[in-house]
Amino acid sequence: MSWSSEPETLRTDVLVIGGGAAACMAAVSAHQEGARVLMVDKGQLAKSGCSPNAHGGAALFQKDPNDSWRVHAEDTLMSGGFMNDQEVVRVLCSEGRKFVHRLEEYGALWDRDPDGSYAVRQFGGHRFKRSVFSADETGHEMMNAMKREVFRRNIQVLNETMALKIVKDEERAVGAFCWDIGTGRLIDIQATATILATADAAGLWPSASERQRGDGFYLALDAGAELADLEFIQYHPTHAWWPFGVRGSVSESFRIEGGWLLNSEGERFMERYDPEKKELATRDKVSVCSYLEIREGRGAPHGGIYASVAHLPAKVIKERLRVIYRKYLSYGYDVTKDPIEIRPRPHYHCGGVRANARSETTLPGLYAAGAVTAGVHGANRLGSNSLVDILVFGDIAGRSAADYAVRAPAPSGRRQGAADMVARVERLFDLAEDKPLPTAPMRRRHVEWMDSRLGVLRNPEGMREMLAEVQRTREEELPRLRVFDRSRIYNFELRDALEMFYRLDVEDMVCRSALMRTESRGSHYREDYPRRNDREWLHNIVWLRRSSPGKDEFVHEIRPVAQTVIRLEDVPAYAGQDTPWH
Amino acid sequence: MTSYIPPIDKPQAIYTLSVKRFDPERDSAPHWETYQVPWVVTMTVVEALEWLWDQGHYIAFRTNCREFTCGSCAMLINGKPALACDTPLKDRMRIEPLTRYPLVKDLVVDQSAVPKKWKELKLWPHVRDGKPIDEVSAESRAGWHRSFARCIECYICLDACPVSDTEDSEYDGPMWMLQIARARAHPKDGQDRLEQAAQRGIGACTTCYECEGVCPVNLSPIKEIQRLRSGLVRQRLVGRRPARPEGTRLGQRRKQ
Ligand code: FES
Repeated sequence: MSWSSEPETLRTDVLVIGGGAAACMAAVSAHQEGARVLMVDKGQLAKSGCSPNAHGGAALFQKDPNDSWRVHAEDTLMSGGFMNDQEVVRVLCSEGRKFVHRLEEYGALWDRDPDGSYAVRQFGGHRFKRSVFSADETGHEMMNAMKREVFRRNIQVLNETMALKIVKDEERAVGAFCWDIGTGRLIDIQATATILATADAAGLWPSASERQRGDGFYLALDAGAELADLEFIQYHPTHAWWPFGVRGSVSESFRIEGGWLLNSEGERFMERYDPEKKELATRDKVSVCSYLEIREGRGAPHGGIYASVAHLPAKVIKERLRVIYRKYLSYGYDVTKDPIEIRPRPHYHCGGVRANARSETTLPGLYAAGAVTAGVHGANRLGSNSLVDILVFGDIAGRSAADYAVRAPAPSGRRQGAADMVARVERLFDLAEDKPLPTAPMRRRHVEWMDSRLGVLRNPEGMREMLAEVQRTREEELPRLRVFDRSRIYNFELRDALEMFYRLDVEDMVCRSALMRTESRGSHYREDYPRRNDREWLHNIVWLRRSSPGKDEFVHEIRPVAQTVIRLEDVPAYAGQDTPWH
Repeated sequence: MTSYIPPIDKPQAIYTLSVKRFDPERDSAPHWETYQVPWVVTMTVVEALEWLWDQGHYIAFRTNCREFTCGSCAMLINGKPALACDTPLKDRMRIEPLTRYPLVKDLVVDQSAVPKKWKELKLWPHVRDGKPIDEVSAESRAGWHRSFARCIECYICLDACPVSDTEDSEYDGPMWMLQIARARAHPKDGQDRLEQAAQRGIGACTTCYECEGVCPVNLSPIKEIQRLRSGLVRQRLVGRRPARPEGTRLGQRRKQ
C-alpha cells in the first residue's frame, strides 16, 4: 500500500483539531464569529475525548456571597503549587458563570436545589461550594449539549481523522496534514488559523483509557510552540483495579462517603501517614502513601491495595455508591461484605502547550485550549476545574482564532512536509527490513515503565533508567518499527505506530523535566527531595524547538513564575510550609 | 514494583473466541476466524480483543473509554448487541459487527448516517430568547437522567429493533424516539415533537420489547415510546394541538 503523494486539499478559515468539549466549544465560538470552521477528530465526535468521563462537576459558579474569583484563584494556585500561569487562572476563575446558561441553551440541564436555584457541590481543595453538576454525569451532559450545537450550526466534522503535522508558512501555522483513518487518504487542510484542542498526555502512563497519547504536545512543539510543566502527572488514588472488568475510576464519593483503605495486614494505613484527615487527605498524598504500602510488600495480591466500605450500613452503600455496588455485583463481588482492590492510576496530565489568556501559543496562527494546555492547573489540578477550563478557553480560543482569521492573509499554498509523512508511512509498510518490530509490545512496555519509573514515587535511578530506555528505543527500535496489517482502511495498527514517533519525544522531555526538578511539588514527588523548595523552584520548565544551521533540537528553559495576580506571600497558610501538597 | 498489566500471562484457562472478519480490500465476503485467548476471572471482550492486538491480530474495532460511557464498542456478542467493554469474556464466544449500519471492516460499521439524522431531526432546543431557564424542580430534574439523558449512543437498541432494521426503514427506531422524548422534555425545546415522532414512524413500533433490557445504561426506550404515543393519542382525541407543546416544562410532563 502507499499513499498518493498528492494529498487531497481542503480549505477553511479555522481548523479545530480534537473532538471533545473544548474542541466543540472552540468550533462553536469561531463559527459564531462568522468563520468557516472544520473539525478533525481522531475518534468519533463526542465519543473520543475524555469529557464524557468526567463525573464530578464544573466550578463555574461562585454562589456563596463570601466567595469570589479571587478565592477560587487562590484555591487553584495552592493546589497547583503556584506553578500556574496567573493571568490564565484569573480568566478561568472569573469567566465561568456565563457558561451555565449558555450550555442550557445548547441542551444541557443542571441539577437544582429544592428552591429552584442551581445546586452546587464542594470538591476537595475548594473552600466553597461552587461546582454545578448534572447528576454524576456532568461531562457527559456537557458533551451532549455541545455536540447538539455543533450539529445545529452544521459545522463540518471529519471523524476518525488524525492530525500528523501542523504545517507552517514562514513563521505561522497554516493548517495541518491529516490522515483519514477510515479511508487511508492523506488530507492537506489549509487553514488561516489552527486550534489545538486535543487531550493531554496521561495515556503515556496507564490511564484508564490510554487514549490521551500526547500527539497534541508533539504537534505543537514540532511546529514551534512551547511546552511547559511536563513533569506533573496527577494520579487518582481510587481506581478500581481488580477484578479488571470493573476498571475505571471508583469515584471520589468512595472516599467522601467514608471508605477505608487497607493494606494486606488489614491496617487502615492512612491513619499512620495522616492521623487527622486519613483517607480524605489530598489525592497526591493518598496516592503516594498507597504506593509506599504496595512497595513495602503490604499490597493486595494483584498489585493494588484494599478498599472497603463493609463497615458502612448496606443501605447507605446501595444508595450513595449505587454504580460501584452494581458494577461489582455483576462480577460476583458484594462490596457491602468484601473489600475491593484499587490502585492509584494516572488521571490527568497538568502540563502541555503554553497558551496565554487569549489562548494564543507562541506560534502565530496556532491556538490551544483544554487539556492540551499547560498553565491552568499548574503542578496539580484542582478537582472540577478542568470542565471550566474547556469551556472558558475553548470559547476564547474560538473567538481569538476567528478574529485572527479575518485579519491574517490566507495561507499561500506553499506546503512543505507532506512528502516526509508519506515517506514515513511507506517505510512503516516496508517489510523488507530483516528484523521488523511490531508496535503493541513496544507501547505496552513504555506505558508500564512510565508508571513504575515516572509514576507517583520518583527517584533518580528509575527516571534515568526510563530516559535511557527512551533513547534506546528511539535509536535501535524505532527505525525497525513496522506495520503488519496491510490494509489501507481502518488500519489501527498504523495509527498506533505513528503515535509511537510522537510519544517517545514527549516521554524524553517528561523524564528530563522530572530529573531537573529537584524538589517535590504537587503531583511531582521525589523520594530524594521530598520537600517543596520555593526558594529555588518557583520556576516552570519550558521546552521549545531551536533550529540553527546544522542543528535542530528541543531545548529547555527554566523561567521564573510571574506572580502578577497573587503572590506567594499573600497566602501565608501555604507559603509557611514546605510539604509538596496543600 | 508490580506490573500494572493484570496477570494475563498466568491465565486460569484458555478460551476460544470466534470473530467474524472482513477486509474489503482482500475478502469477497465475511468469514469466521477462531482464536485462542487466555482468560482470567472478570476479563472483558475488549480486553480479549486488545490482547489479540498485542499478538499481532489487528482486528479492526472501535473502543475508547473502556468504561461504558462512550458507546463506541457495541458489537454482536453471541448474536446479541452489547458493549464489548461491559461484557465478561466466556468460552466459545462469537463476535460479529452490528447489523443496522453497513459493514466496513471486521467489527467496524459505517455510522456516517448518525450525524445526518441528528441534523434531520433537529434535536436541539429551538428557543433562543437569551433568558435563563427559570426553576426546574429537583424532582422533575431527577427524571431527566433516569429517563434519557444518560444515553451513550451505542446504537444497541437500534440493532435490537426488528422493525427499524436499516436507515431506510419508515421507523427511525428506539434510540431516536428516546432522543425525541429528551428534546421534548427540555424547557427550551419549542417544537412539536409529538408530530415529529409520528412522522418518524413511531406508529410502526410493534411494542415487541426487543429493545427493553439491552440498554447498557438501563434506559427504557419503550417506556418513552409509549409516553410519546399516549401524548399523540390525546392530542388527536382533543383534536387540536395544545397551546404550548406539552411537556415544555418537565414538571408538567411528569404529572400527566
Ligand atoms: S469503549 Fe466506551 S463504551 Fe465501550
